[in-house]
Amino acid sequence: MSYGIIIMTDSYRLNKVKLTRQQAFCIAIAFSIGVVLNFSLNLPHAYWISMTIALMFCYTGRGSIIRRSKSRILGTFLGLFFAFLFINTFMYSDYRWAYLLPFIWFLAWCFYCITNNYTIYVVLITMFIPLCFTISSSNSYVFLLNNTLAIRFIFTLIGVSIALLCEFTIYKKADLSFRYFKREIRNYFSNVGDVLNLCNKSFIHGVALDKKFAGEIKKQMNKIVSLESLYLDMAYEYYDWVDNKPQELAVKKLFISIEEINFRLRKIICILGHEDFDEAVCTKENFLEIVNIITYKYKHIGYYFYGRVDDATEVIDSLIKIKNSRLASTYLYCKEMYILSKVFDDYSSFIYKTFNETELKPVESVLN
Amino acid sequence: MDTIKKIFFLSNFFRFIHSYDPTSEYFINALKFTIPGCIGIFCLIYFRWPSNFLIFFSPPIIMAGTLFYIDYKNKIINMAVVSLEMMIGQFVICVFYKHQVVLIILLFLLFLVIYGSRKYRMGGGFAVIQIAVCLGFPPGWYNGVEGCIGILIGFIISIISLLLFEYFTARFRMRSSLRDCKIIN
Repeated sequence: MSYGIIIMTDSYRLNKVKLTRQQAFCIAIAFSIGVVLNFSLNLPHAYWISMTIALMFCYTGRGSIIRRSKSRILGTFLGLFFAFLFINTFMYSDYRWAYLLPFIWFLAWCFYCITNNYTIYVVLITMFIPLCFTISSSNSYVFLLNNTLAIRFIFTLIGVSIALLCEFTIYKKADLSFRYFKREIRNYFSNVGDVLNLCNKSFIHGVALDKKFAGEIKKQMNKIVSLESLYLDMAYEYYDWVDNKPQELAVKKLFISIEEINFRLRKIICILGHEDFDEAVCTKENFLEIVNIITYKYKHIGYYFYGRVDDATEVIDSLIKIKNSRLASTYLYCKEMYILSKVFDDYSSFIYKTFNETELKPVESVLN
Repeated sequence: MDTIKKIFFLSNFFRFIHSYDPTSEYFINALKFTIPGCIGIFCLIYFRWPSNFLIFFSPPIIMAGTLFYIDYKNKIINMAVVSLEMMIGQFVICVFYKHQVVLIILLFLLFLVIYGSRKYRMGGGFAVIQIAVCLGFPPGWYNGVEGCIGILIGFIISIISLLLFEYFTARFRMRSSLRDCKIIN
């Protein structure tokens, strides 16, 4: 199964609203099939089919859905086994065992949040629902181990099959993890742009960093986690992933760039806590103009993926060459901004050259 | 400190300690999923409400939707949207249970709306789980309204829990996250 060369640069051309609607249609069809089966089978636990479909589509991305299919089946089996074992062995003899449930629930969630293992998540959800029913229901005879375990497991298999069938037939290109990956790349760079913007304001105008800054940092961390997770999912979508050298190199370059950008941002944040901007190096207006261009670059990476080039890196490099202020925080700030700009230029030009055959556009001057 | 760690080969030990740091996000998230449910069970037992298990089933689902948002405003809006979706789903299923074609069409439209919204689809995905579970509930107007009341109480419990959690844990959680991504030592 091959999708041909996957172009990294088309992140600006995605019609997100259209894709979301297509995907919503696919999920709604899958769920409706589950509801129809629920009514037509007319069995006590047939709602499990619709619930499995809902859980399968809970996190978006085809790679994610394929990856989670196996975990869902295994997790359901283990979850049902543990839940019914708990009910039939412990709670059957003494109801006070139920007091232990919140503690088990808490420990299991801790374990899931640390490991991020989807199988554990499924075990938890699977245990939770029958246990809730048992606690609230007076007629516990409906939870006989053998029948319920077998029927619910079969329903899970049916639910997983329906979800996969719909995912691969109805608007099959609407929910690719690779699309989300590309979108997250743009979001990540845009977020870095926002962080830089706040840092610039703080450094040049002496505006104190507030909760907004903390929020942006938090967003940035989420983007990195999301990119890593989507990267893992993509391997399940493209079976020729390993052979696709340009693509592999592009992703490798992306993660190296992210690591460097994070390191430089950390240094910038450290500089902010010290001295303010020193006008001996450059006027405030000029400096603001240069750093704003770097911020703009990060916020609009799409243009640079299409071959746009500027001379912000060279201009800020000329500021670093003023040697009489090497220890000043302004010099250190310039240096970090220079590296950030250089990392960005390297990455965007690499993407452009790898996926386009035409030459880069003429360099645009940042200073009028 | 780094040198000391290297000398005594303690870096692995510190990494282990940091990953299981109780001020970290995982611990708070686990509490978020446990405490509101426990409060729901307490309410159910103490006030002797009829067997409406949605009071303790809905808070973890409502709370799960908040994980995808950073600011309070979006978290609260998302919680309200998830609760509303759950209530509509519960009510529609209970009322139209005997009119299956109408029910399927209504649910189809509801899911189109839930998953078609780009902003609230992640939280809405959790609401759909609860809607699916509702298919196993006893039908009827009375049960539908009772379920809606259960979800409403669950929403109130969740929102109080969220505000308390954010108030007490925001500061050290932020510090822990910053340390985790190596922005501070």
